Amino acid sequence: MKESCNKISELIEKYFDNEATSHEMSIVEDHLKNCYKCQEMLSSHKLLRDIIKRPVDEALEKEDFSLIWKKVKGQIQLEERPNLWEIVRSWFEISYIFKKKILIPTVSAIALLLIILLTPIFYKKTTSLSGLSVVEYVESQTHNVMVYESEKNKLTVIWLFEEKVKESPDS
Amino acid sequence: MRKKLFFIISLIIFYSILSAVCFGQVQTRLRIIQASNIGSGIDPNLKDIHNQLGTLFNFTSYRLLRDERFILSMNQSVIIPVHQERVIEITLLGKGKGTAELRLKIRSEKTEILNTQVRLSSGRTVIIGGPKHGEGVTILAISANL
Repeated sequence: MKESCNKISELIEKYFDNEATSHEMSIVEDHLKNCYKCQEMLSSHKLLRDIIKRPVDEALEKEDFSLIWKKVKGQIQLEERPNLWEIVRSWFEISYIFKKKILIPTVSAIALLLIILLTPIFYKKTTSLSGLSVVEYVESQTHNVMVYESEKNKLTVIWLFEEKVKESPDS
Repeated sequence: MRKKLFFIISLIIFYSILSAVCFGQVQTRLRIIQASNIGSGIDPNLKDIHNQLGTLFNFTSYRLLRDERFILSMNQSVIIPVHQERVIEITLLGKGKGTAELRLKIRSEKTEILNTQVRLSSGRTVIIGGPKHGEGVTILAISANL
């Protein structure tokens, strides 16, 4: 009987933890019917489990898991960096300007400003640049003028000669 | 977010203004030279155009009287005294691909001695000279840096 109890005590732990096979379970249950000592052993296992489990259950009941999850989720979101597209999209979706509905007037104003500022530049760039001559025109009321251009030396000379002879009113 | 947006808009406006101001400007140089047959020697500041002058004129002496560098904006004029009563008025009329269009007017009191319009590219020099006075002549060398 004693040896049998020793063997059963090993199985009782498995039985208590629901790890025993059906055959082992039937052996243990048959033995427990007739053995008061092993019944006490099983009871003491149950008591010990209750002693350990109760404070844990109480602590779990007090804990707010939704709050903990919220904190964990916040940490995960902090670690996850949004990609460029998401940043750009967020600008248009939640930007201050969009909320205030002044995006279109602002863009229009900037475009208008650019047109006003840049138009004179483009206009000037295209004015009287036709032809190849460096001297576009030359005139002198008082002197004869000679123009000499040298592409080789990258030089243009405008030379004034002696004063023009004033035509007399009689001639 | 607002700061970012404000920064971008400011940058665009600043670039526009900068483009308008800087891209329409031309750095111009005017050198007033006294050329004569009295004495000999070339002013060191005329080395870059000395060979050009030598191929065109027979003067023995070239002396730099004045060297002016100025930045002209569109339609801006500058008036510089040349010699005796004469002044030269330089006006930037336009700017194209590597060229600057300048109007040059030389006046003596109320008389307009010369009125010309030239198109300068980088490295090109326009020389205005004459008439000859005795043994010498005043030469104006105008160039633009684009």
